[in-house]
Parts: sequence; C-alpha cells; structure tokens
Amino acid sequence: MQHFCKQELLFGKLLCKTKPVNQQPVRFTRKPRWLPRAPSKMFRVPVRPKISTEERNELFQLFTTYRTSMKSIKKQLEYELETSYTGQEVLQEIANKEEALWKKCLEINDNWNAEVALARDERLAIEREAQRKLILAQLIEKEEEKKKQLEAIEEIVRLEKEKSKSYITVENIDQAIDKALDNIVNYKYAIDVAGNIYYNNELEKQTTETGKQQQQVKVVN
Amino acid sequence: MSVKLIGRTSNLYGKTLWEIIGNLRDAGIGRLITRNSYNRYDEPCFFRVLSVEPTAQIENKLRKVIVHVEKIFRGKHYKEPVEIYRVSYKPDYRLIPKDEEQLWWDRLANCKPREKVVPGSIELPPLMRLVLERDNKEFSPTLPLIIRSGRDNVAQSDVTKIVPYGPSFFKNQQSS
Repeated sequence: MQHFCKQELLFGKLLCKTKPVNQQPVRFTRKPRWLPRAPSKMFRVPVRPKISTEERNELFQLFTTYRTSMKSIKKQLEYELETSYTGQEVLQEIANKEEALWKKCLEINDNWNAEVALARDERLAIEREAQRKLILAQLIEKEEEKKKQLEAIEEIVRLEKEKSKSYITVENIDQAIDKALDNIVNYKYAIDVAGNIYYNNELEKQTTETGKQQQQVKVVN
Repeated sequence: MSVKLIGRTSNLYGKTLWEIIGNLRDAGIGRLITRNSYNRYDEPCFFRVLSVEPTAQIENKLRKVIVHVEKIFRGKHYKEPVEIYRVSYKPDYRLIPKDEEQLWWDRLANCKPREKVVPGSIELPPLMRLVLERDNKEFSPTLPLIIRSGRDNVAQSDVTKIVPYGPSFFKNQQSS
C-alpha cells in the first residue's frame, strides 16, 4: 500500500496530477507517541486479559521449553563457529598455508637476488673498466707533466751554467777588482729639461756613452 | 459511603512498606511481613525485619524506606539478609499478626524442599540434523540442555535421560 502511494505520488508529479484519486496513506496516519491521547479515547480503560491458571502454566511450560532448547542450539552453533576458527585441523591448515606462502616468498626473493646479482656484476665490470681507463689517462698526464717540469729545470740549469762563466770567483776576483777600478761609473748627476747632464752643478761634456744616454733622455722627454 | 474505583486495575493490593513499618513500635523490628503477590506460591514466603533506615537523606520519596530483612522465599531461607529499598513503595505488603507468626514458621518447617529433575539432553532438531547430514559432518545425535542455576532455580538435570525434540519435554518431569 505504501509502495502504491509512492508510485501514485510519483506519477501525480510527473503527469501534473495534483489530486490523486483514492490515495490513502497507511504509514503516517497513526498518532505519534508524543501526542496525548485522542479525546474520544480519553476515559477508555483497557480490559485486562483474563488468563486461566492452566493456560498460564501451559504457556510457562512452552516458553521454558523453547528458551532452554534455543539456548542449547545457540551454544552448539557457537561451539561449531568457534571450532571453525580455532579447531586443531583448521589451525593446521592455516599453518600449512602460511608455510607454503613463506616458501613461495623465499623463492621469489632468491630469484630476485640472482637477477640483481647479475645486473650488479655487469655494472661493476663496466665501472671497473672506466676506472682503469681513467687511472691510465691520469698516469700518462702525470708523466708528461713530470717530463715538462724536468725540461724546465734543465733549461734553468743550462742558463745558470751559461751565466756561471761570468761569475766572480776566487781565481778571477783580482781581475774583476781591477776592471771595476778601471771603469768607474758616476751616477750622481742631474738632468735638465733639455736632457743635459750636470755633475756638481756644472755642465760637462760626456763621453760617447753619455751622449747616447742624453739622446735617450731626450727621447723620453 | 462505598468507594468506587475507576481507572486501570492493578495486581497489587495491600500497603506500602512504610505504611506498615511506620505504625509499629520500634519500627517493627522482629516482625514478619509478607507480600500479597507471593500468594501464588504454595511454599511460605515472608520477611523478618532486621533494621529500618529512613530515606530522607537519599531522595525525597515519602513512600520509600530502606529495610533489611531475612528473606524466606518458597520455603528457602536465604543466608544473607536482603535490602528492600527499590520496591518498598509498592502497595503489596501485608503484616503478619503476632498470633499467626508461629503458624508461618511451622509452615516453613513442614515445607518439603522443591525438587525438579529435567532431562540432560534432547535429540537434535530435525532441520539441524538434515543440515548436518547434508554437509557430511560428524555430529552427536543429542544436544546438551543448559539449565539455569541461579539463586532461586532448583532444577537439576538428569544426564542419563534423553528426550525427543518437542514442545513439552519438561511437562511430565515437573514435580513441584
């Protein structure tokens, strides 16, 4: 009936039927619990059921029987349910399943490890080769650098050897002193704007070397 | 002027506990009180008042009172005293007159203890048996019955006895 009412309302809405015919809601016609008693039933006293002693005893027996039987059936079903979770065979089966699963997991792990080991060996070999090449290149570079350094040192030594021919030693110190005494050079002079050199506030004609110096000074000025 | 009762009827008739206790000397300690609703039992059921306490400090209920009693229920003397507080407002109590007290004690002494032997197990219900047979499970053909073992339950189960599943397997075994 309720379903029918719903349908009616739905079709009423769809077909713009504002007043469905013969609609009688069933569910929501009852008085809610929180409303007071209907005025027409205000002073009504409900008649108490009269149950005879025999019938009462019979009902008591029936209910007792029913309750006790149901209790034992429930207990039995609970026991069966419990054994289906915690029985010895069930536990053994669960343990076997777990063992198989564990074995499978181990196998997968081993396979994976082997795969990874193969890949790692390849990678390590490549890396080792690259490292070897790098070290070789570095060795060559170092050797070349060393050679260059040696050459540079050789050059310095050669130059120094050439220079050492003009060194003043114990043997030729007297000659050097004599030479120095023979060619005294006086650098204590002044220069004017024209480039003339003055010794002791006097203009003096210089030697050829001095003339060259003068020319240089003039160029500078 | 006769009293005309209107409205719903009640199973209770008698006085509240305080109506009885409040009118007695020494608050009725030592007196016997019974409940009218216990008349349904053949065995004697009554209380012997041990102590009375007011309830004004607890709640404002004029009809209630706290009474500690020795309880005798269906011919069985309780070992521990019982407190009557929550049901003390019920107009169900009746004072046993002093000249009848000995009669009640004699009834208690002459009362034979209740006995009830019930079968220990029943056969399997038919549908349950069918389901178990369908599933090829091993099952015992009987279900053990669980008997209530409360303070007032006297039923004893006879383990050797097996009865068929049915609505009235307790009927013939009742002896009380």
